Formats: sequence, structure tokens, C-alpha cells
Amino acid sequence: MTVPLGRSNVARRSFFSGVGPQICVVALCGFTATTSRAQSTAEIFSRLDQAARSFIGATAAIRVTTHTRIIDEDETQVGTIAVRRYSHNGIQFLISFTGPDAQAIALRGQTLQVYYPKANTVREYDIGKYKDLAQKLILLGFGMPGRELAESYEVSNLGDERVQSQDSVHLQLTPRAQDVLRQLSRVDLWISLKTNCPIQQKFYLPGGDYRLASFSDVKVNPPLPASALDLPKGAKRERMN
Amino acid sequence: MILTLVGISYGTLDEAARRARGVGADIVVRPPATSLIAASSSPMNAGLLPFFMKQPHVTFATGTMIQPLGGFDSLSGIDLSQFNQLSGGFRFLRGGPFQNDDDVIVDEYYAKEKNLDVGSTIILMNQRWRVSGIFESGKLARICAKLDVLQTLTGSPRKVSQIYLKVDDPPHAQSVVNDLRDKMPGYFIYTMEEFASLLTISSVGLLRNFIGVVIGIAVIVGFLVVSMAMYTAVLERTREIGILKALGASSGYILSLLFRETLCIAIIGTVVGIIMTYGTQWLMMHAVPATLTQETVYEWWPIAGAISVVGALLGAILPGWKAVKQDVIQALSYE
Repeated sequence: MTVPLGRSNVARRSFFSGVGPQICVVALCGFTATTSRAQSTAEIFSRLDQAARSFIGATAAIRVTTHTRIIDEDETQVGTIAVRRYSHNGIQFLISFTGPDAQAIALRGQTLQVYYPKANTVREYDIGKYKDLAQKLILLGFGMPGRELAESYEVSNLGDERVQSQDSVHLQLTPRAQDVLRQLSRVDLWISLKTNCPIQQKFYLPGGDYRLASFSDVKVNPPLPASALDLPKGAKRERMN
Repeated sequence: MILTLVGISYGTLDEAARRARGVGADIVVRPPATSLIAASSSPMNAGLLPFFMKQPHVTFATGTMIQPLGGFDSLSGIDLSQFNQLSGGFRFLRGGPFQNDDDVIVDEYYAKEKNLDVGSTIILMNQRWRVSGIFESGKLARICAKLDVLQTLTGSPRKVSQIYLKVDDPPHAQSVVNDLRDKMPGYFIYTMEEFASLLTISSVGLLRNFIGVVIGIAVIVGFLVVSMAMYTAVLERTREIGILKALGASSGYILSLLFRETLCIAIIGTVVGIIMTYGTQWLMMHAVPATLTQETVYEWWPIAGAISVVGALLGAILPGWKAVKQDVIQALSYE
């Protein structure tokens, strides 16, 4: 796996850098001043900020559908996700897919680990400064304060929607960074009004392909020891960079 | 040092370009930049192959999977019969194609570097593989396994890293590429010539920076070494410099002497450096032929020479200044 997002090395420049809290305030004020949904967007951000402060972890079932537009074909992976905050700014996760495409992906610190059960191998990649990008893309909405969303994306509130029998708010996120925008047209995010965690994330690529991650049976702040996010100890570890 | 590292950079990229051309395809299609979201090195749906086969002028399409093995090595998954149709087939020097799922074929350089022969076993991706054949280098990769085996091992069924296309007539390749780019925005689609041309120093930013750093280090090292050598030379020749000055030699004359000596050292150093690059080239060809390829880059000879002369002359300034400023009486009494 290569860490850079393609030839333009998108992530060389920090995706989420250079925008201070002032901009968030301006963004929030902008929402407040312009539309009738502004207040609810501000409320959503406020609720996400509040939820993020108490967020220490979550578990969920995950279903990822990758759509290839040109052949109108979907591929689906199912599994589980566990997310755990281990320090103020540090979040680790473990996504385990089952079935014929069984593999697990874990991020701890700056190390992204990919576990291939059939080869009983864990490949470790030092993703260095891409860590934030990986964390904020894959964990978009998990314990993420509203101000972080506003820092990184133009946020449109598309209103309340019922998804997977749950009430949610549908946010449309357009990356602010131009180099990210070239690789990722937009992200749709459905945040549960009950758990304040995502029910769905939909990443749109410029060509019309998308990747839809749906979360069910979400449990917020369950008892989650660090060992619950470990990959099998007996697997052979290979350092890739 | 400059010539060796530049030679390795050029050699490694040219070798990669040569192997890419050796695939025999006219067009290569790579996936959109989604590695981080997908956390996969093979994010392309193999279901795209029938779609490509339906495109005007496209006569053949096949996908390969690339699994990095750490360092410079990677393991490529191929459908051998399809790949043979595309490339004209591997030319086996010993052994032959895969027979079992745990078979791999390796190129001559990899076999030489790892001391492998037909029937040898090798551990890759925590699996024991048997070498079934050793092929002439220059096609795609150094190590190849069955595509479906690699897909299963990595939990990526029906996934490929890139797709190669063959067109009915090579001049049609560009129009097919343009058409596909319109249909599939976000995908990286190139003619093979375009793709090979991307494998140059100027296109690989990291390598360009690396060479810049190497040149910087070379200038600093050259400066320090020459500075130390000439400083020592000036100290050793204090009396001689005093005698020259007593006989009426001007400061310019003494400086000119030192700079000419420095220039001689730099030129001899450059020539010796050039000769030494042939030594490192030989060493790499015999010790790590699959990992590092060094080329002789003639256009860098004058550049390296100029860098060496500039570094040396800069290093000679301070000792020269000391020689010029020496007091004649003190210099003559120097023991």
C-alpha cells in the first residue's frame, strides 16, 4: 500500500492545517447569518463538540460498498470497527473485515497496520504526517468536534433524514484544500441524532466512483481495553518503510 | 559520490521504464488516488477488464497485482496465459511457468542476487514459495506469482493494482487514452511511452531533492577536505612561501600557485571519481543486481567536475589568504 494519495502527493501539505479556530467561528457565524438551517447546523456542531469531549471510544458493525461507476458494479465488505481514544489527540482504530476479503486495518500512533489472515502477516507502514489524514478520513464523525469538520470542509446541512431506522442529520462536506478536492469531490456524512456518531459516510471520487461505509449497532464509550484493538500477536510482522 | 548516486537514480528509473515497456502493452490504467481511504494497494475492480475489451481499438486487457515486499522488492500477481498474450511470453533461462499455486518465477538478476535456482524455496509474505522458472529480465517485475493466489492471500478477490491494454494499432493508443480519460475521470491513464517518460529524475520530486542534497553534501565535503589539505600544505610550506616572498613574489603569484595546485587536485579527483564509478557499477552488478542498477551518466561528468572544482577552489580561499598574509621574517624563521 502506498501512503501518498496518488502522484500529486496530496497529503504532503497538511490537509487540516493552516485554518485556525477563528475561521470556524466565522464559518459558524456564516451559517447562522445566511439560512434558516444555519441554527441547526450550529447546533449540530455544538452537539458534536460536546460529544467529542466525552468520546472515549466506540464499536460498530461496518459495511463498506465500493461502487465503480463505469461498470455500475458494487463490491461489499462487512466487518466490525472499534475506535478508542488513548490520549487527548490520539485515536486508534481497528477495522476487521470478514469473508473472502478478510483483512484488518489498524492505526495506532503513526503506524498503519494491515493484517492478512490468510498469509498470517501484518504489514506495518509508518504513515508519519499522513496520520491525521487517515484518522480524519476513516474516522470521519467518530469523536470529531464540529469545529474540526468546519476547519477541513465546507459544510452544507441537507437536513434530517431517517437512515437505517435511525434519525440522522445529513451533512455534505466539500474539502477546503484544493489538492484534496482533486482526489475527493465531496463526502456525505449522516450523523445519528441519538449517538452523535456516523451512520453512513459516502466518499465521492471525481470520476463518480464512491465508497459508502455504513455503521450499525453503534455503541459509544463501551468498555474497550487497548488489547481489544490489537492484531494477532502470532502473525509475522513486516515493516514496509 | 555524485556520479555514483546520480547513476543509481538514473539506472533504477531507466530499469523500471525498461521493464514497463517490456510488458508489451500500449496503455496502462491505474486507479484513482484512494489508497488511504481504501487502505489497499489493489483498489481496482477486475470487472473493469470486460469494459476495456469493449472499447474501440482495444484488442486485449489484463490486470496485475503488485504487493510491496519492503525495500525495493515487490511481488507481482499475473495471469500467466493472459500476460503471455500481452507481452509475447517470458523467455525462460531455466525452468518454466508456474505449475502449482506456491510457485513463483523470478528474473535472472533476482535469482543471482538471492542465489536462487529452479526448485529453490523462498519466503515471501510469510509464505514458502518454490521457484519454478528463471526468466530473462525486462518484463514487468522481478518476482511473479499467480494472480488469483496473491488475491486470495491478500483478501482482495477480483482486485488488481493496474490494468494493461493492447490496441489494434499503436498510433491509436493516444486517442484511446483520451477517450478513456473522458469516460473515467480520476483514473490515471497513460500510453506506455507517456508512463515510461514519467520515470525520470525530473518527474520524481523526491529523487530530484535527493540529488540536490547529494550535491550540497559533495560541495561541503569537497570544501572541507580541500580546505584542510591546503591549510596543511600552507603550514608545511611556510618557509618556502617566506622564501618566495623574500625573493619578491607577489601575493597574486602565491595565490595563483595554490589555486593551480587545487585545480590540479580537483581535476585528478574528478577523473579518479569517474573511474571509481565503473568500480561501483561492477560491484552493484555482481552484489545486488536486482536491487540497484547503476548507469554511466555522461552528461553528469562535466557537472560533477564543475562541482568538484568549485568546492575545491572555495576550500582553498582560506589557506590562500593565510599564505598571503604571512610575515616574511616569521615565515623564514618557521621551524
